[in-house]
Amino acid sequence: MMSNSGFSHKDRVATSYYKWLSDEKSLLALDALAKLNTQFANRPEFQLLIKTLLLTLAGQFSITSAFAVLRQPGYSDNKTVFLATGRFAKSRQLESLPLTPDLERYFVEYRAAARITDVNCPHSCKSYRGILHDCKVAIVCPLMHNDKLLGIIGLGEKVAGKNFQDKDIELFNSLMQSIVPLIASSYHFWEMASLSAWHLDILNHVKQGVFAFAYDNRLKKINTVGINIIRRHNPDIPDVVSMYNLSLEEVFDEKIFNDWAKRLAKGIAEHDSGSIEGLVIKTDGVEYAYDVYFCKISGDTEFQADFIVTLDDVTERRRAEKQRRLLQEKLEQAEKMEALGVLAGGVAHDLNNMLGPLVGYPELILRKLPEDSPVRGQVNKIADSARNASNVIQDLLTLARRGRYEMEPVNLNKVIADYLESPAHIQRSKDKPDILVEYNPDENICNINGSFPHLYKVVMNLIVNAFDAMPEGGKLAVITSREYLKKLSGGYDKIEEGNYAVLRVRDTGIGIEQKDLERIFEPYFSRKKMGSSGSGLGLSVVYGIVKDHKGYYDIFSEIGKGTEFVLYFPATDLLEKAAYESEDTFCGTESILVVDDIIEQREIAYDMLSSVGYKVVCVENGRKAIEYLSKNPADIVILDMIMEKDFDGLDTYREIIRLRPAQKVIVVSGFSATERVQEIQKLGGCPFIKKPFTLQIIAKAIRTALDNKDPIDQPA
Amino acid sequence: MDKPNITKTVINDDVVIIKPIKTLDNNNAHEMVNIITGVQEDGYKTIVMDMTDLEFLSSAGVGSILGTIETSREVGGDIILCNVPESINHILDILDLIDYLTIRENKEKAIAMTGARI
Repeated sequence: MMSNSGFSHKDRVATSYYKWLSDEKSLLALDALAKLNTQFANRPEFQLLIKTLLLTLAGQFSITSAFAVLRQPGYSDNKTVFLATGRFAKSRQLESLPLTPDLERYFVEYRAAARITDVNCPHSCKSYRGILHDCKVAIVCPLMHNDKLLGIIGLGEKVAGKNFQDKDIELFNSLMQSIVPLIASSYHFWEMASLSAWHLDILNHVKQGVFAFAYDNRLKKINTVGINIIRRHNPDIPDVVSMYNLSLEEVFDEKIFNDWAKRLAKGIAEHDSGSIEGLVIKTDGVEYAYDVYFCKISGDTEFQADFIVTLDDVTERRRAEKQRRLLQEKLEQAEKMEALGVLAGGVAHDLNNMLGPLVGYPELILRKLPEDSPVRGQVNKIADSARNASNVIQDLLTLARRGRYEMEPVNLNKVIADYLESPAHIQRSKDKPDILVEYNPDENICNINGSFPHLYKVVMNLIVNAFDAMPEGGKLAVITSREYLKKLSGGYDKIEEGNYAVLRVRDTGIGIEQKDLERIFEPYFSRKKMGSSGSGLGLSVVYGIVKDHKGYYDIFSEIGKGTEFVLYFPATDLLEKAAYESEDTFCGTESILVVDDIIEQREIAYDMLSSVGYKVVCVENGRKAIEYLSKNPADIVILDMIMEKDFDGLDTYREIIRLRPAQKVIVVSGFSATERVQEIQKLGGCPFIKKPFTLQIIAKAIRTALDNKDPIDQPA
Repeated sequence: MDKPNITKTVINDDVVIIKPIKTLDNNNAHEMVNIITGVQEDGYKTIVMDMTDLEFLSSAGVGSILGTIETSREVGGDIILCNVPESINHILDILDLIDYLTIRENKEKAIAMTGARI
C-alpha cells in the first residue's frame, strides 16, 4: 500500500501539512477540522462527532456516501456500531462488517488511508475488501489509537465519475491523523459512559438493595432496589439525590429500622464482612424480612467507597418456608395419625377381645343375681366402665378410620341428656360452679341417622370447649330444635334444603378472633395454652363427625362476648331402636358353633348363649370348624373374622358354604366392617356383629337369622 | 451562539423550498439531513434550496446536500440550489461541485424547472 512514494508514514503526514498551505481546498479542510475540534472538544458526543465527520468528509471530497464501523465499547466481543451517510446508510453488507483481529493486525502495520484496490491483506481481509469493492467504497481509513483499532471509515466514489487523486488521499490521511486524538478521547468518554451505564444497569438489576458508603459514613451509591426498599418503609424520602451523602444512621432511620444502623456500625467496626439475618420491619401491618450483609471494600478508588451494605428481601422466601414448614408439620401429623390409626386398629382388636368378658359377664351375672342384691350397683359400674372403655377404642378407630360408623336412628336430645348426666360433666360443673348450664331441648326434635357414641363425643367436645372459654364463669346454653332450612345464616357452610335436628352450644366466654375462625377445625390448631386441656383434636373430631353425618355447622363469635356453635343434622323418618327387647326374643334351643381363636371369647359366647337355652360348641380356628361341620350339623355358626392369617374368617366361610351351602353364619369382629367382611356379606348376606357384644345383641341376631326361613343369597 | 435556523415551505405535492439561514455547518448539518430526509420520505421529489440568507457553508454543510441528493435524483427529482451568494459559490467551485449540482439564479427559476408556480 502506498509504496510508490517511498516516504515513511510520518514523513508523509508532515509533507501533507506543508502542501495544505498552498491549497485553497486544503484550507477549507483545515477549517473544517478546526471547527470539528472546537465543537467536540468540550462536548464529546462520540456518535454525533462521527456523523459530523462523515458529512464533512463527504463535502470535502465531493462524495455522496461515507460510512464508519466502530467498535462498541464495553463489550469484549466484536460488536460494532454502524454510522453512514448517503446510500451507504442503507447497506446491510457494510453494516455487518466485522472488525476482525486480522484486520486489526493489518491496520496496526498499515495505519494510513488507502484505495480499496491497494488494500491487500491475508485471510478475512480478502473478503473484507470484496465487500467494500461490491459496495463501491473507494477509500478506507482505520481509526487507530495506541495500536488499537477503534473502527474503520470508508468513503464512496466521487461525484460525476471523478477519481480520487493521490493528493486527495494524502489530505484524507492527514485529516484523519489530525482528528484521531479528538476521536480517541471522545471514544474513551463514550466507552466510559457506556461502561458506567452498563455497571449501573447491572447494579440496578441485582435482586438485593445495594448501598455504598464512603469512609465518612456517607451514602455514595444506591441501586434501584435499595431505593425501593427504603421508600417502602420511609415514603418521606423525596428522591434518590436527596439520599446521597446521608449518613448510615440517616439512611436506616432508627424510628423505622430500629437498631439496624447501630448493629451495622458495630459489625463494620469489628469485622471486614458479616451478615445479620432475618431482620424484620412491620410497615402498614405487613411484616417484611431482610437478610443484611455488609462488607468493607478496597477504598483505593477516587470515590473512596469504604463499605457496602446489601439488603436481601427474604419476606416471600420466609413466608414460603413458613408455609412449607406448616405443610410439613401437617404431613407429619397426618402420618402420625395414620400410624396411630394402624396402631389403634391393632390394639382395638386385642382390647376388644379382652373387654369381651367385662362387657358380657355383668349381664349374665345380673341375670343370676336377685333383684335386691347389694352388689348389683357394683356390677352395673363394671358394665358401664367396660362400655366406656369400648367407646374409647371406638374413638381411636374414629380417628383412624373416619366415616365407618354404624349408623342408626338417634335422638339428639338423648345424646345430650346422656352427656349432661355423665359423671365427667357433673364433676366439671362442680369444679366450675360459676358457670350456669342451661339445657333447652325441643321435644319435637326429629331423629337423625347417626352414631350415638360419636354424637356423644361431639356434644362433649363442644361443652368442654365452652367451659374452657369461660375461665371467669358465665352461662352455657345447650339448645336443640327442629328446623326446616334452606341456607345457613352464618354462611360457613352450604346446606341442602330440608328438615334438620339443630344443636346450639352457646357460651358467654372470651370469643374467637375472626382470623382464627376458619382454622379452628384444623387438627392441633388451638388458642388454648398447651396442656391446659384437650388433645388438640376436639374440634377436628367434631368437624369429621358432623361431616360424616352429612351435617353442617355455623359459628358465631365475638371477642369478649362469646361463641355459638350451631350444628345441623339431616332428619330421618326412622324410629329409634327400642332400648330393651323382651327376653323371649333371644331365647332358643338350636345348636350353635362358635369359631374364635381367643379362649375368653369362646368362653363368654358359650356362657351367654347357653344361658338362654342354646346348645353351644366352640372351636378355636377355621380348620377345626370345617372338620366339625363335616361330621356334625349346626343350626348357626358364630364366625370370628380375625383368626389365623392363612385361614381367616373369609377363608373359613368359603369352605363352610362349599360344605354346607345353606349354612347360616353370623360374622363377628373387633374391627369395623373390613373389605374381607364385606366379601363374606356379598357371598352370603351374613349379619355382622361388632365385638365386644352383649347377650342382647348377639342373641337377637341369632334369633333373627334362625327365624328367617328363607335365607336370601345363600348359595345353592 | 445563535442557533442556526432552517425553514421549510411547501410549494405543491412535489416541490418544497428549504432555506438555510446564516450558516450551514457542523452545527446544523445534521438538522439539514433530517429535514431533507423527512421531506423525501413525505414524497416530495424536488427540493429547492434557497441560499439567499446563507453566509457560511462548511464541508459538513455541503456533505448534508451531497448525502441526500441521490435519493431525490433516484426518483426523478433533485435538490436545486438557488440564490447562491458569491462566497458560497466559491466554496462549491473549490469542491468542484458546480457541474454536479443543479444551480439556478433565483427561486422562481428553480421552481420553474419543476413546472410548478409559487
